[in-house]
Amino acid sequence: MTCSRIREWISLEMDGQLEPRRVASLERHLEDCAECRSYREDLHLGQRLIAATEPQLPESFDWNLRLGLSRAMREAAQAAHPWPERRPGWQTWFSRAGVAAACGLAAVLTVAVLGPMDSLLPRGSGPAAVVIDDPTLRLPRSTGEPAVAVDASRRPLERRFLPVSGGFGGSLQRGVSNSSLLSESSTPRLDDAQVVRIRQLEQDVETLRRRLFAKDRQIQFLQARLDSVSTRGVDRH
Amino acid sequence: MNRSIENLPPGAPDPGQNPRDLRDEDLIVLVQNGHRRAFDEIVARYKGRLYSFTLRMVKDPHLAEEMTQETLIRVYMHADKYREIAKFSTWVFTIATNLVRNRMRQKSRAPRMLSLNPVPEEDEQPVDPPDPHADPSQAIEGAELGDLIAEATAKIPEKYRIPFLLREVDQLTYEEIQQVTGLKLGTVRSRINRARNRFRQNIKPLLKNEDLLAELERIEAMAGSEDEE
Repeated sequence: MTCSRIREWISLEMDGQLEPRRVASLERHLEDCAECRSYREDLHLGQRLIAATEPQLPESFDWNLRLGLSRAMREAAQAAHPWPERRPGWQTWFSRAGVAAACGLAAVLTVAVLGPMDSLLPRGSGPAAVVIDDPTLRLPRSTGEPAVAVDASRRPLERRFLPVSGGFGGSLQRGVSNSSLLSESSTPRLDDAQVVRIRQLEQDVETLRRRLFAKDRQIQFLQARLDSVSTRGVDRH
Repeated sequence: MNRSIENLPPGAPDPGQNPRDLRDEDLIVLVQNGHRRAFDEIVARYKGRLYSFTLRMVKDPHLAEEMTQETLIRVYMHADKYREIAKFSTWVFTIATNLVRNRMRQKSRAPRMLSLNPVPEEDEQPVDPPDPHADPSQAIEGAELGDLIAEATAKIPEKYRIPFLLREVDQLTYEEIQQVTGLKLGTVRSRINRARNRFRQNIKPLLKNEDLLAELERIEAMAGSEDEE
């Protein structure tokens, strides 16, 4: 028996794939051959090294996945039901330019009349930052809750978009502690009532997301039916 | 049939059950019926294994993260297409493997700089070419064990590396690897064997380094104590 063949058997034996009738031959060879014994030890050590050096995913993975998933669902919905194409005429361009000019003027006037933005933001008060930038998480306006909550204690440039809990193991606590790491001073300032309210809102979000998902599936199903019906219609003609 | 969270097909798993107690194949049925929490559990079970596989294939942590994300997004978006004729893990790793292969293909098609001393093809390279001036212990010193192993893995040719990682990292059986890769069973066996041989040659200098072996034992002891907790 050649050492080359024996090494194939060693690999199979490691995976429990070696035929039982060959196990005895393998062991006999290993008793006599120091090189093959060393080969087997090295392979086992290699397995231990791979197992011990398991790479760790970054903390932000779950949140990025949620964003990626939302984007993919939006794109799928857009592909299934595209918006009607509108060609911008001279009137559209004119009105866009007007709106842009009005916005710019309003911004300039606001700063001129009310002073710099910092003076509008009392420091050291207000809730910790929880900013929702995911359309699937936005609450209906009728609930009276803002879709975006901003940490008023920070200067504009210090604000960060932070994940809100729910899904893929994210948690409210993590969002808060992240925000406290970013802030200059201080621990989060959420009181119990606010935490309870946020948890309620999270449950609402989850319920809405489920409904949205179910509706999305229904739309896909109906679209598929519609496609099959129209294809059959074309075939008949 | 209209699928929605209110209308589960007969024989479907109970959505009220703790997702951790369900099989992968039950979880995907729940996902097919709109239960997002079931998908969270799938993500928790697979993200580490997928990242480990893709990182060892592409070597770039950002790209590996992106590809892990893309695999899981595809699982979710195409959940309807899964049928329980194959194991769920096989389906997931088929998606990941195809993504990795496409990426490798794109990379190999990218224009290269012409060299007067062309590098031999991956398979033509001599195995562990001996360098008389090199002192392996110097290269090892100061390097992280994880980086050294990643480097040793990356030197295995791609066609051997895929089955090797599916076996060693993701613990797929030979039959599952056969399904994922589309190779014959005998080819799977021989490629894993060849990859192990290459890997051994690549890590040979490490095996003589006592500091690294002590590091390995320390990591294993830590992992063991975490498991006990």
